[in-house]
Amino acid sequence: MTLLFQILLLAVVVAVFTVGPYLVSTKLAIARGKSIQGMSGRNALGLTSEPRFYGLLSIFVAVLPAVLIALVGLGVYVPQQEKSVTEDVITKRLQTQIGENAFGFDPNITFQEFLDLPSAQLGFFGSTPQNQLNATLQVADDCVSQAAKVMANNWPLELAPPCLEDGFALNFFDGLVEARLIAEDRIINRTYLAIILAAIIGFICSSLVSVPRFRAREIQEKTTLVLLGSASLVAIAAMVALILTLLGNTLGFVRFGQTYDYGGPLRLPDWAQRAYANIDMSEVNRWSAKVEPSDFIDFDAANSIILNGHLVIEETIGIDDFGEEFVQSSREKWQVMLNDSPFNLGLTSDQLKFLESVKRRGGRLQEEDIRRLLPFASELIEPLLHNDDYERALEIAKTNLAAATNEARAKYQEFIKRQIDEKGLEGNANTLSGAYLNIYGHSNEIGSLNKELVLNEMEQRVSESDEAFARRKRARENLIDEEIARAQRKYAREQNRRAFVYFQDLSDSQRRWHWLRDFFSWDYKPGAANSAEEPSHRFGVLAIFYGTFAIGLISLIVAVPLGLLAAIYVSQFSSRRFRAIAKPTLEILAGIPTIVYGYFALLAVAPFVQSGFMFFEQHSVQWIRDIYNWLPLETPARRMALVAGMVMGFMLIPFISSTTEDALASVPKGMTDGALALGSTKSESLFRVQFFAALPGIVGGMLLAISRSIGETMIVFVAAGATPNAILTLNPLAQQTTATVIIANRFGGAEDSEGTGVVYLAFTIGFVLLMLTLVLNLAAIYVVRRFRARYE
Amino acid sequence: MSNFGALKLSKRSARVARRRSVDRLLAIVSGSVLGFVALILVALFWDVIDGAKMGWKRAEITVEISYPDEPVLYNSGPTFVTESAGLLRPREVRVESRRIIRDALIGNRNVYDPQIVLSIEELTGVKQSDFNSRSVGLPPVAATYEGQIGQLFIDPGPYFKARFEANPSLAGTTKPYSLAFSTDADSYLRGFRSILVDGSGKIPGSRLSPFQRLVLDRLIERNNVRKVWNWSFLSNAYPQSQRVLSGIGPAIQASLLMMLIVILVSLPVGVGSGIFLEFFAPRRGFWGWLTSIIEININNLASVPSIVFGLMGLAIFVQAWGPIFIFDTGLATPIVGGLILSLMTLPTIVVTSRAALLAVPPSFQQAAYGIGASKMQTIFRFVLPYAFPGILTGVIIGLAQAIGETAPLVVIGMVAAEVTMCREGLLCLEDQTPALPTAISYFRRFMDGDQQMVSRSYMTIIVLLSIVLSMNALASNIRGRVARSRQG
Repeated sequence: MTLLFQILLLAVVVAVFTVGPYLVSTKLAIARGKSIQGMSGRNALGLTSEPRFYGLLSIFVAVLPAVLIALVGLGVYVPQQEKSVTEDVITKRLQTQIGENAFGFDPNITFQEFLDLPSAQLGFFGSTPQNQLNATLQVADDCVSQAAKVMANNWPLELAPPCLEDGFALNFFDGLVEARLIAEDRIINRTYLAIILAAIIGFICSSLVSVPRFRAREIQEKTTLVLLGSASLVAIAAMVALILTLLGNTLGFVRFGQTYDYGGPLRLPDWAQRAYANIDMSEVNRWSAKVEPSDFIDFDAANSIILNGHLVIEETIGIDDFGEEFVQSSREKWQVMLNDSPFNLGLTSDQLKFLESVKRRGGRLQEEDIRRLLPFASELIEPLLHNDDYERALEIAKTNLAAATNEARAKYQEFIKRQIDEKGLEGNANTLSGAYLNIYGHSNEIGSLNKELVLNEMEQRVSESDEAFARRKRARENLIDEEIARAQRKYAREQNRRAFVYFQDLSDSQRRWHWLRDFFSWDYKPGAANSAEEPSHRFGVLAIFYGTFAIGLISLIVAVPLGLLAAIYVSQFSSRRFRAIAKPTLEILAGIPTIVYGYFALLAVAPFVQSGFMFFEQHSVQWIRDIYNWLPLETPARRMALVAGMVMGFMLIPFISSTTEDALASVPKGMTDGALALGSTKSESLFRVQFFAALPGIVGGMLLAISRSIGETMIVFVAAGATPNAILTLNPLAQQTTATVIIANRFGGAEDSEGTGVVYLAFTIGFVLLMLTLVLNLAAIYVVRRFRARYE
Repeated sequence: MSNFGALKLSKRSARVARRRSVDRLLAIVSGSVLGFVALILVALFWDVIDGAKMGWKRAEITVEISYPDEPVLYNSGPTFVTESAGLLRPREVRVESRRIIRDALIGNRNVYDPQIVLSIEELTGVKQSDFNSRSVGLPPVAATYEGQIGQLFIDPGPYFKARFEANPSLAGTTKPYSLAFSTDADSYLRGFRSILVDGSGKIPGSRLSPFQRLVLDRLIERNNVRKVWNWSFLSNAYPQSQRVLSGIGPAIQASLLMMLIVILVSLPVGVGSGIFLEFFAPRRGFWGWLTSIIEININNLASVPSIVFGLMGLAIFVQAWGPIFIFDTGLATPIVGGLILSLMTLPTIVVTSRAALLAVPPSFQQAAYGIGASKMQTIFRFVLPYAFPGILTGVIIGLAQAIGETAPLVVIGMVAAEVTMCREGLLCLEDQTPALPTAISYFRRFMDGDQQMVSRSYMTIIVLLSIVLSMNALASNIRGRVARSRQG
C-alpha cells in the first residue's frame, strides 16, 4: 500500500513536470518554426544546431522541477512513513529474536501485538512486555554508561560490563537499535532511489516527448545503442566484481595470516628468539607475587564481618557512658584494624566495580590489566605486606577488649551494688529498671539492657574475624604457588605473543611471507587450538584441494570412457532416428540439478556399492579376499568419495559426450571418406583419422568437464560427507571433502566456531577456484581455436 | 601360385574379418555404454519416485464433531512452537480438542455415530461411564487414554477456533470434520517403516503405545480410514511440529520470485548484450580489443563455479550493497538469490541469443534495409522477432539451470532459513526464505530415522525435477518446432 502510494506520488510528480516542458518546448518550436519560416527553408528542416539546444533546455526545464518536487514530496511523506517502517522492521527483528530463542509463542506476531500480550504468556520475561522493554532499555542504558566509564578511564576493554558481552537484554536492545538503524537506512535509501527514479523518468520522458519530432528517432536510437552497449558491459562488470571481491578477501586472508597469533610453537629465527629472551622475568614474578586475585574472592564475607563489627561498635558506643573509655579505646583499635585491612582502603566506587568485575571473571587478570592497574594495585596490596602488624593489632584489640569487658562488668556490678545500697530497693525489679532509667536516662534503654549480650557478641565477632583472617591467610599460602605458576604460564604465553608482536614490528620479509609457507602446506587446522602445543589457524591449500582432485579424478575415470564411448556410438553407429532420441536423453542427464544427483548418490548408489562390497567380502575366492584384506581399505561407510566421484562422473557424461560428438561431426567429411576409401574399417578411420582431427575439440570438452568437476559442490556436500576437516587418504571408500564443500560448510553448516580466518579462507579458496577454472577455460578456448584454424 | 594366392586371400580375408570384428566389438561396447547411461537415468528416476511414494498421500478420518457450547474454550493462546536448532518440541494437544476427538471416536451423550464409534470397553476395559463423567473429573487412567487418543491426530483446535470466530452460531451443533492423523499414526496406518540413514530400520509405529496401536487397528478394521492426496505439501510451510503437514509452499514461492528476478534482470541485459555484440560491437582497434575481452569474459563467466558466485553475492549484495540498495538485501533473501542467479544465467542467455541472432538469414536484413529501415529498426522489427524462438529457448534453458542451482544459495544461507508463508507481495523479496533446492537439503537434516522426512525430500526433488525437465522439454519442443517450420 505504501509502495503504491509512493509510486503514485512519483507518477503524479513526473507527469506534471514533463507535460509542462513538453508544452513549453512545442510552443517554442512552433514559435521558432513560425519565425524561421519566413527566413530560410534550411533552418525549418532542423539542420541547424538550434533545435538541439532547445531540446536540452527543455530537458533541464523538465528535470529540475521534477527532482525538486520529488524531494519536497518525499520530505513531507517520509517522516510520516518513518514510524510505520521502523515498527515494521522492529517487528521483523522481534520475530527473528523470538524465533531464535524459541520462547514458545507465536513468532508471527506484530510489534503492537507483542506489546499487548498478557504477561502470563511471556514466561521468559516474567512481566508485561512494556515493562520488560522499559527494563531492557534501562539495563542497556546502565550498561552503556558503565561502558562509557570504562572507556573514559582508559581501562582495558575486558573490564567492560558483562551486559555488553552476554545477556539477552542487550542483545535485544541491540536488535532494536539495529532495527531502527536499518529502518532509517531504508527510508533514506528509498528517498534517494525515488529521487533518482524521478530524475531518470523525468529525463527520459522529457527527452522523448519534448524534443522536436524529427530529432526524436535519432536520439531514441542513440539511447538504445548506449543501453545495449552498457548491457554488454555487465558481463565484464560481473567478472571484475568477482575478481575484486575475491581478491579483496584474499588480501584479508593474507593480512590475517600476517597478524594472527598462530599459537603453538613459533618457528622463529634465532635472532628473534634472542631478542625476546631478554624480556625481564623478574618483573613478571613481581606481578605474580603482588597480585593474588584470590584475595578478592571472599570479599563479600569479610566485608560483612567488618560491617557487623561496625554495628557492634556503634551499639556499644550508644550504650555506655561509664564504659566510654574502653569503648573509645577499642574503637580506636578497630579503626586501626580496619585501616590496615585491605578491605577498607577508601576505594572509589569505580575501583570497587573493577574489583567486582575481576571477581566475576574468576579473579583472572590479563597482563595488560595488571600493567595498567599497577599503581592502583600496589596501593591495594601494600597493606597486605604488613601482615605482622595486622596480627599484632588484632591481638591487642582482643586482649584490650577482654580486659575492658571484665573491667566494665566489674564496674557495672559495683555500680549496681552501690545503687542498691544507697536506695535500699532490694529485689524490686521495677524500681531497679526505674533506677536504670534514671541513671542512664540519656542512653539507649535497650542497648543498656543488652550490654552483656553486646559485649559477648563483640567478642564473638572478633574471633570470627580472626578465623576469617586465618582462613584467608591459609588460602593465600596455598594459592600463592599456584598463582605464581599461573602467572608464569601466562608469562610464557605472553612471551610467545610478544615475540610475535616483536616479530611483526620488524618488517622482515620472513614475517611477510610466513603465512604463504603455511598456506602451501599440507596442514589444515582451522580455528584456535585446544592446547598450546597444537598448531592453530593453519590453512594448507594442498590439503584443501587434495579432496577436490581425488574426487575429480574418480569422476573423470568414470566420465571420460563412458562419455567418449557414448559419443562414438551416437555419432558412428546409430541411425538418425535413434540419434534424435539419444541426444535429448543425454541432455536430460545434464539438466538434472546437482543436488538431486547428491541424493541419488547418498540414498541409492551408496547402499548399492556398500552391499556390493559386503557381498564381495563374504562370497569371493579366498585369494581375492586375501588381497582385499591386504589393501588398506575399510568397510565402506554410507558416505564415501567413490560414490560421490562416480555420480559426479555420471553428471559429466553429457558434457564430454556432446562436445566429443560435435568435434567428431565437424571433422571434414573428406577425411573420413578418404580413410574409408583407402580400405580402413570404421573403427580404424575413427581412431586413426577422425579422432586425431577431433582431438582438440575433445580435449576442450574434457577441460570444461574438469573445471566443472572442480567447481561441483552439492554432490560431494551430500554424498561424500561434509566433514570440516581435510582428509588426506588414498582410500576411495573413506569420507572426503573438497574445497567447495569447505566453503559451503562455512556458510551453510551448523557450526560457527572456526572464527574469521575461515571466512577469509572461504574467499581465498573461491579465488583459487576462480583462477583454476579461468585457466582451464582459457586453455579450452585456445585449444578449440587452434582446432578451428587447422580444419576450417 | 594359385594356392599361394588363395592362402594370401584367405589370410587377408581373415585379417579383414578381424579388423571388422573390432568394429563390431566397438559397436557392442559403445552401445552397451549408452544402455548403461540410460540405465543410470532410469535408476535415478526410479529411485526418486520410489523414495517419494510415502509422501503422496496421508491418512484421514471423517468424524462427526460436536462443537461445544462455549466458543471461548478454544481461545487458549498461541500454540505455535518453532523448531529451533533441530530440536523438536511437540505441540501440546489442547485439552478441548482432545475431548472433542475423544467424544467423536468413543461417543458422547449427544453424538453417537455407530459407523465410527469404538467400544471403549472393547479397547481398554475402562467403563464407558468413566469416560463420560467429565464433569465429575476424569479418573487418571481415562485421562491418559484421552491424551493418547488425542496424540493420534493433528490438533484441530486452531481450526475450531477459526470456525468459531467466523461463525459463533456453530456452538452446540454437530458437523462432519476430516481429522488428519499425526505423523506416527500416519506412518503406522500406511505401513511405512522409519528408515535410518545408516540403513537400519524400525518397526512401524514403534513410537506408539500399545493402546494407540489398538485404536488404529480397530479404525482400520472398520474401514474408516481414508487415504487422501497430500496437496497441502505444495502450500504448507515447514517446519511443522507435525511432520506430516510440512510442505514447501514458501520454497516454491521464493523460487518463483527468484525466477522473476532472473527474467527481469538477465533477460534484458542478456539479450541486449547479445544484440550489441552481434550487430554493433566494434571489431578493430582498442574498442575491438574490448569487445573480444567481453566475449572471452562471457565465456569465462559460464565456467566459473557456482559457489564462487555465491561468495560474490555474499560480499557485494549482502555486505557492501546493503546501504545503497532499495531492498533489505539480507542473508537468505530471494532478492539476493535472484541477483546471483541472474548473473549466473547471463552467459547462457547471451550465448544462445547470439546464436539465434546469427541464425537469422542475411536476406532478412537486406530486405529491411532495402525498404529504408534504419539498422535499429531492422534489428528490433525484423531480426529480433525472427530470432525470438531461439532466444526463448536459451532463456528457458538458463532458467531451468538457475532454478536447480543450490551451491550459491547455500552460501547466502538459504539452507538454514525456517519460515512460514509470506503474504505481502513485494516484501517477500526481503524475507529469509528457503528455495526449492535448499529445501531438499533442509529436509535432509530432519531425516534421522524418519521415512516421512525422506519422502518429503524426494517429493521436493520431484517438484524441482518436474519444473526443470518440463522447462527443458518446452525448450527442445520450441527448438524442434521452429526448425521444422523453417525447413518446411
